[in-house]
Amino acid sequence: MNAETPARNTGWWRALSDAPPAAILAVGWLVLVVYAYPGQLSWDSLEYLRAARDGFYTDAHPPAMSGLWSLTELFVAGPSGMFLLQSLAFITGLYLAMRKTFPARGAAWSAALLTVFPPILLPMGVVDEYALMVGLLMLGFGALLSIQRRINVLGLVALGFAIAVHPTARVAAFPLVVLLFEWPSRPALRRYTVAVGVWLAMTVLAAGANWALTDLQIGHARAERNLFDIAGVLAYSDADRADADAQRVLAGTGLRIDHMIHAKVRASYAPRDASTLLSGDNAIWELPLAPDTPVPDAQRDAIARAWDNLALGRPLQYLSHRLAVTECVLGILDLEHQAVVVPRYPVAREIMLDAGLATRSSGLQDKMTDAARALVDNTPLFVPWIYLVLGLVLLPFAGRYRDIVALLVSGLAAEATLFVTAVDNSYAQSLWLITCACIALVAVIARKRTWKRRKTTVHT
Amino acid sequence: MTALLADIRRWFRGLSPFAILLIGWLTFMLYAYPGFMSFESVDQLLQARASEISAAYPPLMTALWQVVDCVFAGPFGMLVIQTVCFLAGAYLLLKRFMPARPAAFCASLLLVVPPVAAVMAVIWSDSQMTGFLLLGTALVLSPRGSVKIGSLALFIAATAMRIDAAALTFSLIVLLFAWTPTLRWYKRYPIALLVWVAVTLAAIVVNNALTTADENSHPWHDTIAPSDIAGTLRNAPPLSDAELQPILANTPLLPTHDIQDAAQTELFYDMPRTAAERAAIGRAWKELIPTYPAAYLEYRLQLLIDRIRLHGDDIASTTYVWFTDVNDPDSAAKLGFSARPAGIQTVLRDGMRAAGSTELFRPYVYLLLALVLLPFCFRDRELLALGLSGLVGELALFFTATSLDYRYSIWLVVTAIMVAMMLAKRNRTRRDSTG
Repeated sequence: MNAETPARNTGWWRALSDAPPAAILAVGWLVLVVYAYPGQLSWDSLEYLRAARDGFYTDAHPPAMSGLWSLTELFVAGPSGMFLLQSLAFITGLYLAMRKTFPARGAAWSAALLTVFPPILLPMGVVDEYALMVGLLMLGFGALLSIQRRINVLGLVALGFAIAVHPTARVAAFPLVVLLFEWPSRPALRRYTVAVGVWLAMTVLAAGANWALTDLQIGHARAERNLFDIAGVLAYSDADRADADAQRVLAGTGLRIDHMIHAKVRASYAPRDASTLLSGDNAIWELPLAPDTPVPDAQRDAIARAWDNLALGRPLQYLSHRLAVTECVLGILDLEHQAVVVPRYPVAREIMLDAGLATRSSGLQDKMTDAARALVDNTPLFVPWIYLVLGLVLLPFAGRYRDIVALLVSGLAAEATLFVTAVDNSYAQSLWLITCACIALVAVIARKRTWKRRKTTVHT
Repeated sequence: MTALLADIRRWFRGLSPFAILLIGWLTFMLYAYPGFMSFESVDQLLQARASEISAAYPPLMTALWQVVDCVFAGPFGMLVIQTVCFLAGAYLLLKRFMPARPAAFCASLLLVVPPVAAVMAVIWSDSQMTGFLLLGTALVLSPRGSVKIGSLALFIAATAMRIDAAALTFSLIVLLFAWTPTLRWYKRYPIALLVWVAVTLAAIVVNNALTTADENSHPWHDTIAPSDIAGTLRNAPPLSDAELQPILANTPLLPTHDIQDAAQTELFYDMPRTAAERAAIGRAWKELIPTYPAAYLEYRLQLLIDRIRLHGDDIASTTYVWFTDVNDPDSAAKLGFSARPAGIQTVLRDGMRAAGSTELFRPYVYLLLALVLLPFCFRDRELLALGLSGLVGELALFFTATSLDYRYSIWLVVTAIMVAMMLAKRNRTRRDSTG
């Protein structure tokens, strides 16, 4: 190649330009595989795997996740099967979605590049309920955009599984189904009624599946959230309650302390993480933490009563607490997010090896992890509020495009649920918002450019 | 329901060759993922990670694993390399005899049949060699020069994987390599022969260059010669210690008395550690084997009969189905790697263990098949090269094998089955065209 030869005429450029879409997608997917192989595990992932292998499911987490994992374990033991499922669902759905904006090769490029975009790549490499939910939501979204009825139905099935895997998907799936699922030859009112009915049916079926799979109700998740809210209300109260009053309100909740209760709750409370109240030397409450030990009914009822008393009785303090938690989730004031870069091996080596899991990552993976940490520490790419603002800014520009509006509303609504449900500032719970905002950005810019080009062509 | 079945059938018929190969590969992975590792594999991986490449195992394979382990820790990367090379090579070769989709189907079938899958699922030098040989054979037939060079690189890699692989590549290179198709035979074959010599020497040079822990590779002194000596002594006429001690002086001999009786046991020799010991072994071999050629041949013949399972005895399963060294409970901790079988994999592993005791895993079956088919291959250079390669390789093992492992015969098994597939298709095509 000499200085006069345009770069576009050279072999490598032509190879890139002519690469088939499947090859481009494969390369993007392979980057994710190389980073995450055989699928990263978090603490929660190990719980899912244990439940899948024991065949004993509790409501600590939606049993559908463990149920799916027990199915994949028939074919591939360990995290690889679930990782394949979530990553392939994600990149397939993403490609189908981008096909609405680009021709095949362009859609493949944008899907591949979004897959390897670090704020998306990092959490998608972890086998947990968030990544799987996002993968299935993405597949559902992409399939709903198809003109083929069969593909639409498959999309609904994917969304149904997403709802079963994580309750946030109920809210995320609603705008997707209502705005994008069209039953042909029906007037608008009937169309939306049918769509809402379909969403309701999916939600009920998913809940029913989880209920049917659950062997033991332990009630831990609800109890933990309620105690977090209780602590938050107390933390945002102006004056400390007397111990006698605090003991009366919190009777039966499993309180570990009986002296300077309010002050100690205030000291232990951290809006970024509920676990400071339940574990460690300064734990305030005693809550069974073992995955198969239910919270006693009496304790559960007492916690619910205390929550009603405090959260509903003090709405301003409750809202202040929830606002503080949301600020942590979004990274507005506190940039330190939990588990953006998940440790490769969350538990002791012996436990991992006994479970048939690897305890060693490759050299390249270690380098990628270091690079990821550097990005997290030195760039704002992993701060969810940026994507929240992006989503809100894009919404008016996306007004003409139903699919982008549905996607943005889905992401924003899912993030909004965290206002009520979040118990920590785990980064992965914002993954759907981040994904929706990134897709919307690419799609809106591309479509606006295409529209302007067409307008210019028409006028000339 | 009928429409759905019709749709499914149409979908299958519409599958591309790549899709068929992918399905075949994934089916194989149901059995093999993430790859089985025996003691050798574990030791080799530990060497690769410690950057101590010794001649105890093919240094090129250890070096390759060192690189692959940097991307995918554990056996999976190597499993991908050996199976992808295998599938690609088998497909490209079979495509020369049949349309693309049947070729893809046959290549996939070849990978998943138990006698082949049992070896290709394990991270062994034999499996790597087989993959490289198949792909190299397919690529050497390409008209493009760069691809031919690539095929030679694969042949070098295959030769570096096993000491006797030079015998396997002989007919493949000599019969199939031609820089230009217009070369006359009196130029073509001498050039091809020189290329084979160069490939063989290059493999030795590469292995020696990569060895960091020992100075050079001495497979003949370390295993073949001591086994020959012990085997010959077992079948030789009675020899006293006074006769044997001068012959075996300075060799790392373990017994100090009743030497010929001790040759009946497996612990006859320690590994030679010095140049003097290796020279002593060489000298002892040169003295004993020409003196007792019948005893040597009897030992080698018995070894062959045992190795190809020509005896009618029941055979213990020859398949290896464990993820780490089954004899070392600490191997998982040493490697930082552990795996459990998936549900379907458990069934497949049990099936493979059972199949390992059947006639399918008696190499003599494939030897007979190759011999029977050889006359039908004379008209077709590619078939002849493959058929001869498998047979010559097995013949080389007559002189180089030191144990009964089934995996030594994997190339014979693969070539015999492939030649059978190709001949069947060729005959069918001829019948259809004349009919």
